[in-house]
Amino acid sequence: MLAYGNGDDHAFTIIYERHKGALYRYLLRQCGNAEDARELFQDIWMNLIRARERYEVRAKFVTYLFRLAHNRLVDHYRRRARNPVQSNPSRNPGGEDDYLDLETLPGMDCDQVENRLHLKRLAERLLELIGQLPYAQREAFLLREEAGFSLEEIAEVTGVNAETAKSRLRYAVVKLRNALGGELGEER
Amino acid sequence: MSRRKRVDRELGRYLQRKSVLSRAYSETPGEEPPPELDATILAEARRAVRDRPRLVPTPFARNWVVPASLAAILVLTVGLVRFTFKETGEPVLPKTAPERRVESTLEEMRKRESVDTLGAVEPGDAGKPSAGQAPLERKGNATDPAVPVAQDTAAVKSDVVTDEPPAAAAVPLMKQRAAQDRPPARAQPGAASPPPRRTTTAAEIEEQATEGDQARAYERRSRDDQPTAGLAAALEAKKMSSKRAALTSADRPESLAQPEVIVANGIPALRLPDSLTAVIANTFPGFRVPDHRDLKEQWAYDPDTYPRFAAWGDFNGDDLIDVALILISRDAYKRVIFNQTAEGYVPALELGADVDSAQVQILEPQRLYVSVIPKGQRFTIQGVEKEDTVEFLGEYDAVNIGVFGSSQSIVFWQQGKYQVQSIDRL
Repeated sequence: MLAYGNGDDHAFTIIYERHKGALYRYLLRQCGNAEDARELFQDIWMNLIRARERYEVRAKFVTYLFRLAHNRLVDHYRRRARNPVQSNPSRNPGGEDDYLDLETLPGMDCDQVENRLHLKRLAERLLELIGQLPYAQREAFLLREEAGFSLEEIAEVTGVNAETAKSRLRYAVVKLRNALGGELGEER
Repeated sequence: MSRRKRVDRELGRYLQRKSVLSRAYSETPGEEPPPELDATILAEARRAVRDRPRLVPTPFARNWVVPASLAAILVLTVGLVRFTFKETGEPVLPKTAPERRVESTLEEMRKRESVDTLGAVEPGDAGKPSAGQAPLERKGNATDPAVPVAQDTAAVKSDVVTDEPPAAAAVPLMKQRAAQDRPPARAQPGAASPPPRRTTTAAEIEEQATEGDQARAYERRSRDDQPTAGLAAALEAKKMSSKRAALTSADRPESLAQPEVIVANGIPALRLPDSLTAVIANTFPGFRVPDHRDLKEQWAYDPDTYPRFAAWGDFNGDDLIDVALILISRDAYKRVIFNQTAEGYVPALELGADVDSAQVQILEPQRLYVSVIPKGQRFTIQGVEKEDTVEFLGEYDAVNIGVFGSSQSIVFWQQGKYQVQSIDRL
């Protein structure tokens, strides 16, 4: 990014190619809408281009990039007057069943989890369940999976402390596991 | 094994990438942005650097830029020192001029109002007059040949506007001398917070001003004097109860320097103590206190909640009023707690520095807020989960800092420093 700030446009191409997929999927799975994801994706990179000369190395670039994305997403939710928690409008927003319903979903038979085909189906189901997680928990999970962030990095990107980030990720993992079926024996 | 331990073990396995969740996620479709979007962004990136080529200094310039800068600074410093001190060594400070104040036009009053009463401190405002001072006294207005030193001061420190009296404004240039000559600004019990400055009478104002001007002018006077019934009726000035809950307790000392909310013609303004305004300008250049221009979205004016960007109380139990502020710049924000000390206000805690350092563009600072949690008042924050819910009961006033619809933190004084407890509300 520093090289790009100094006028090397090839450097931008490198960082773009390196991070575009993870960032795009993070946005796509956070807002659940390809059109919005594309718009946000473009905004974030354009902001980055505009801020190139002010960029200073104070954190990993990828952390900086996802922090931009996090802030842009929050703005997006607020402007659309959409409560990010209410990813499923039929649920009781903010109520106790806001997350418990995930735990009551029928689990999958994971006896053959090593089976590739089964893993594919598991993946499809997982994406569906990720979309039903509360916003912050979904974000923590996606930052872990897509960007490979540690708890500390998730905390930095989302502007919370490490304990809060850990709490979010813990809830996400437990809910997803419970929803996918609590009998994934080899992990117990 | 308890449920909590099982959950922690499961999280541990997941973080070690031993969980089936990660394996399953790796099988999800690897969507990529469409090629046309790639092309658009990459083209813009190339265009941006090519349209604005950077200036590459010549080898000569590279070699001489530092020595030349040092020489220029030296010359300027010597020049300033020569103009700054009289033969006796006394600093040439702008003099107070009561006569000039009486003759001040209403236009001048309005200018002062926009800078001072609203509490805004912006880069590039140097040289503007402030309330309670003749405009020419402030930064050496070029129309007043009697104050050449102040002109130089304004030129050098063009990015800083203080709300201190002239002597304080000149302190950076003559620190040692001024420190000997002038006692530090301090908030003392029994001393009214901003010292009375104006000498214009209400009758004089009434003769010259329109009704709106009268209201504004009176509003300024009302900070120092007892209001008259007629003019008071023209104002909407009132105390803001919710933000001052901590300040109305019987044990709070009176007459300490503290912020003040003033409403005139339906426009609210937060007046900060002079020493706090000066500290903000000097410590956080480029940042300013939000003002009426920023009252939109979640900050839209509501008498019960204004100002969302400021809160004050005795946060550290020293009987002095401390202040929590959201400071904003063009593309960033800071959340700062200023402790009041015998020497004035000092920044004691800064939150959000990581955001600023990452230069994240804050499109809407209005999504942030601060408020006071009065001491002894039980305060509950509902977490995402029941077990995350926090009940807080502070020994001193505390600060509730948050993002609307998102995380929330309680900042409280404990063991001689501020502690921060964050609660996830998403």
